[in-house]
Amino acid sequence: MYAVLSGFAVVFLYGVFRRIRVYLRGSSLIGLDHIPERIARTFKNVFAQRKVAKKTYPGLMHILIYSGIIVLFIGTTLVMIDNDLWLPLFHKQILVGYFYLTFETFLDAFGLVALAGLLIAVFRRVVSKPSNLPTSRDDVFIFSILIVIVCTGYVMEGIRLAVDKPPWAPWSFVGYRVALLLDASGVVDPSLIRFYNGLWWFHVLLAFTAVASIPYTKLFHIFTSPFNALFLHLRAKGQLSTPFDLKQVMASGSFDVKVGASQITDFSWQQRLSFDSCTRCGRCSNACPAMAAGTLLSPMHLILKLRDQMFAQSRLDGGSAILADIVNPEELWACTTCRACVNECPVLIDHVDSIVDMRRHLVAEGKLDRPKRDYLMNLNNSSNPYGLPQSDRMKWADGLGVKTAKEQPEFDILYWVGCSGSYDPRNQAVSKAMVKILQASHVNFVILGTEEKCNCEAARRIGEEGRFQQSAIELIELFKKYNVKQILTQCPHCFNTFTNEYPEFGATFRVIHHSQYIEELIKTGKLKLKEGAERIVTFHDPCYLGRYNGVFDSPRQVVSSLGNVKLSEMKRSRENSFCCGAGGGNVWYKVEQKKKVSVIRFEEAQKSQANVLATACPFCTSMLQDASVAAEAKESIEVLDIAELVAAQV
Amino acid sequence: MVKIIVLVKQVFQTADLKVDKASKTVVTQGVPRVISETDKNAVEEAIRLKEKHGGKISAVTMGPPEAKEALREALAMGADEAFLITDPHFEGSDAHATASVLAAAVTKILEYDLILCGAYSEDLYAFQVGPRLAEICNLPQITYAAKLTLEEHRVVAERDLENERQVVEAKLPCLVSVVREINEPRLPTLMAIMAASKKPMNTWSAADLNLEANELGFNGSLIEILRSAVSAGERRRIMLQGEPKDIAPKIVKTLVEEGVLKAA
Repeated sequence: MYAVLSGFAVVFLYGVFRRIRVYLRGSSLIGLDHIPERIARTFKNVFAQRKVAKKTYPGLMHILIYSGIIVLFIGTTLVMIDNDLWLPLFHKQILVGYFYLTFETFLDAFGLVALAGLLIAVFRRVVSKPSNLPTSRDDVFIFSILIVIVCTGYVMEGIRLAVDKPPWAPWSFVGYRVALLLDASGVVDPSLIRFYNGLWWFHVLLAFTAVASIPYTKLFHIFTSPFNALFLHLRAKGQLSTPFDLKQVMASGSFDVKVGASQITDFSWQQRLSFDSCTRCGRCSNACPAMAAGTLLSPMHLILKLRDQMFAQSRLDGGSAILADIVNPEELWACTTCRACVNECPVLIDHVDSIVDMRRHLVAEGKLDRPKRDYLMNLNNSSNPYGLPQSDRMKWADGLGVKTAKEQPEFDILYWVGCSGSYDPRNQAVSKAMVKILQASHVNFVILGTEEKCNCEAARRIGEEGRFQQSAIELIELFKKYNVKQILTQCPHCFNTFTNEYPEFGATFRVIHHSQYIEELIKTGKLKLKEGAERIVTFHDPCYLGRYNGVFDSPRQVVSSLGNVKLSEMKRSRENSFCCGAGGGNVWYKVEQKKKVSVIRFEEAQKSQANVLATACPFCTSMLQDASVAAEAKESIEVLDIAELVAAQV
Repeated sequence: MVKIIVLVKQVFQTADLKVDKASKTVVTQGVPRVISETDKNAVEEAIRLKEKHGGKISAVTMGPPEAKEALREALAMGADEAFLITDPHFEGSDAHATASVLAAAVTKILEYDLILCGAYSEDLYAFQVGPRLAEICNLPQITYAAKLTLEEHRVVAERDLENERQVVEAKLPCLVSVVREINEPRLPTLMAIMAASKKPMNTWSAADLNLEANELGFNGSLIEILRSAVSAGERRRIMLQGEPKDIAPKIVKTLVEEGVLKAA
């Protein structure tokens, strides 16, 4: 038996080796830092199945199979050690007495657990058939082999109990029932031993096959997912990777840095490991707004394409498989970087990171369509995405008595208005509301006025890393010049970039989003609100405020403090909020959509029965406002930023 | 292999230009400078030709020292070398004076098969420099090219003449001026712009080109600017409100009153 086992072990090890070789191709191992954090993450997400369990039904399915098979595997291994190692070495056994009986009951129970999970899995794929759940040969193979292994295990146990008839047989409560059935059918006679021996080999060979097949099927996620959880970057959710340090590049004078991913070996080995961790569960694609809008992007299929290319290339022996052959740029441009996919993924794949890597290459190639080119050119030439004169940046504040940092160097807080708050008429209204709130609360604040420049958050997400870093370097200099301690922003994108991305470039100031700041002003009594009208308000969580930065409660607190307001949640809210369609630069160019992301979201808001759709992001406000016009809603819903709601009651 | 000279002009970002009402002059302080849009098309077309046929691209500009930025952008896009023709004496040059200086520069570079330039510059829209340069250098020229193909010893171009397209060919060497429709210029990344600082950048003065002072600037120009004025086109900003069916007749009535439409 052990000779046969070693054969299977060789097949298994070769399979593992073959995959690892592909991950490591063309890149070196990264060092491990923050080991306790990494181990904690692995435990939480892999062993404790935290993210798997987020979805009730498939979560239950997975946990049943996972725990059942693990217990059976360990149990069988224990029996093996007991009989073939402990007994010959020490001439006694571990599995004896009540411990053995409990062990038997335990194993019998977990066999049922595994079987229940497998039956749910079969039911899902054959009967309920949820979307984005492709059934492949892998799935048929895995389910059949596991079901047969568990069932033959019970039959063997039944035969053993039926032939030996030990007094403790009822402890193996499933096997005992099988034994009773065999007894009743009258097949129990000494020749059954021959059948038993045959069955035993069949069972063992199947079990070995199952284990040896792991590195050749999607079962390999058993190994890839813990390692992916261990090796995945520890950056904040809202912090993109930094492919080069512009300051260093400028100092060294060597600008020929390869930026972005044009072929599979341009990804890090951990990224490649993550592609191979995909179990095709479809959760990412089901959550994806670009997918829902009918664009070319399906995050799951993108990852699977990358994985297939990775293994295809390994056979090309040094040839460089080009991503352009398998990935349509429109797939990449359709991503709003909303992070719903990453949030869903049970094996911690960071789809957004890899998408941005591929975008970086497209930008480096310079072959962008006119809207994307115009957007980047406007940042170059006018320091704002609209291409409007920098000298007009402060026009919205005419007559409001707002001081700039230059005019009033002593201040408590710098109000960062942002490009859309400065130039976009819809969002200028929000800026004016903010000024009203700040003035009513007697806050000593200033703005940068015409010294404010775009922080190029969207440029970074489009893939123009150099432009982003140049602007970060300049702005941090400016903040230091005015000794800025606190920055207030109404834009979650600016908020995220300042909070999560600027520290890497030397920023030390505190960043606060207007939802948090208004909540604080109301709580501390600095801002008193008048009685407001009776309304039902639903709050749309902006991705970069909620999912990225965990700010869910502050905006809801602000809405609640308006009085006379009933907060009605949409079907998807908080962590599961659905994007407005603007993020990742999407607001600056057009993506072919069957149904606009913003319209899908607006219709969800309509179902909440609210008469006010509150947001806390300039892009969400613009997108949803446009959607409300397009929807020609009979029961009109007003789209308002929370600052506008508050300012109306000041 | 094709040797191409591309002419670029640095202009003020026109959207940012404002007029000082008192002095009636254009305020240029703090206004960003960019490559004129059709010149970018010319650079792009040169790169595409080079990508297809191989060769070398020399970008040339005449302008103040700041115009180096425009050349750097052309280098970042894909030009191989750049020539900044700058001299305080150039100030006040009209199209003729500019074309004369460029002709001297082009002659000094010597080897070229093709000169590409934008059909016009975004600041003056005079459509002059390209054709004048071709005349001075005694080259065949094709203007307003919206499509260009290079064949052995000749180019074939589609001229965009607004309501018709004309297909013409010219023997090399020649000059071709292009319009925006010809291509979508690529946008170099900031890293590419920085990397371009390693490519050769030559600066030539009037003396380097053996030009005499009386040929330059105001003295070398045929056109003299007597005065400039601001054409003030204030909008009327009339706002009509109500349901579309009520507003439509009001719009017609207003337009009739304004003399835009004639009452039947």
